[in-house]
Amino acid sequence: MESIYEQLFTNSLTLSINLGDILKIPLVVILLANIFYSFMLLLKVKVLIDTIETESGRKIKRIVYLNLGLSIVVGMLGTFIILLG
Amino acid sequence: MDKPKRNIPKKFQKSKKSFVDRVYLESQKSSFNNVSAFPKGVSFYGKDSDEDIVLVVRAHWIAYLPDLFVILLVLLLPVLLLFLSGFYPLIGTQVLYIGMIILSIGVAFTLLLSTLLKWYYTVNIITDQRIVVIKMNNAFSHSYAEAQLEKIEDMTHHHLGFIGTFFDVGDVQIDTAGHGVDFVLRMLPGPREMQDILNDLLEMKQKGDI
Repeated sequence: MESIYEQLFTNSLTLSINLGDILKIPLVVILLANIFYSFMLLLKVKVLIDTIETESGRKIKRIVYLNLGLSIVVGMLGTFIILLG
Repeated sequence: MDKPKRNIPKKFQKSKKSFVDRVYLESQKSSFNNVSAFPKGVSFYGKDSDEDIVLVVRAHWIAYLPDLFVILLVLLLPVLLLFLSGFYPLIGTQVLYIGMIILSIGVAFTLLLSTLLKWYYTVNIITDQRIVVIKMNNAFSHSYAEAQLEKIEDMTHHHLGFIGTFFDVGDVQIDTAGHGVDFVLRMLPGPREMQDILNDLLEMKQKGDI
């Protein structure tokens, strides 16, 4: 009976910190920040297109939308790979 | 060399030919379309219907060199870490480095677009009535300032050290009447010529030619 108690209460909890896992957190935060910045860029361009009207305003808006889409795709793909790694 | 088709507004057709020629010359000299003379299809918020745009000037590309350097660093850092991980056991597995490379490409593309937009939307518009300075700092802030030509009292330009002398880049400072905002047109290509054009424009305005 005593041996069972000993086995139960010894070496049951070991705290291990993997540096690689800690690094994953800021990387995912950077990915999220990238998506947020792309969204803010889109809002800023929407304002600036009205401030300065040029012939290439529509083209710029399209590029910024494309960047937001790309950021979301890269964000999802990057997060998946980083969490796997 | 073929001369580009000129789009001279009515007000300026009677003015000195040398002024119009100089404005067009600056436009031709500039790289990356930094200076546009009497541009078509350009307008800005609050522009009067009888107001004509003389020049649209953007900062020289050298002003954005630090931003481009940061982008290059963002792209190269994970590749460098991946390369080093082959020799030294660094943090994480190879898959993590691939994730970092994908991340860096995404971030670099956003930063590049942000820099391009900063260049495009940081613009000085010189009209026959005023100077408008629009500046995009980043995705979170931009500013819009303007000064009527009549309120301009003094102008100075200065080249910025070695880079300024090498690329002919500098700032043009504009002092306005009163204790208001003084304008600084930053990192302009050919600041001496810009100041000269502005002085001529002021003179024409004072004489009532435009």
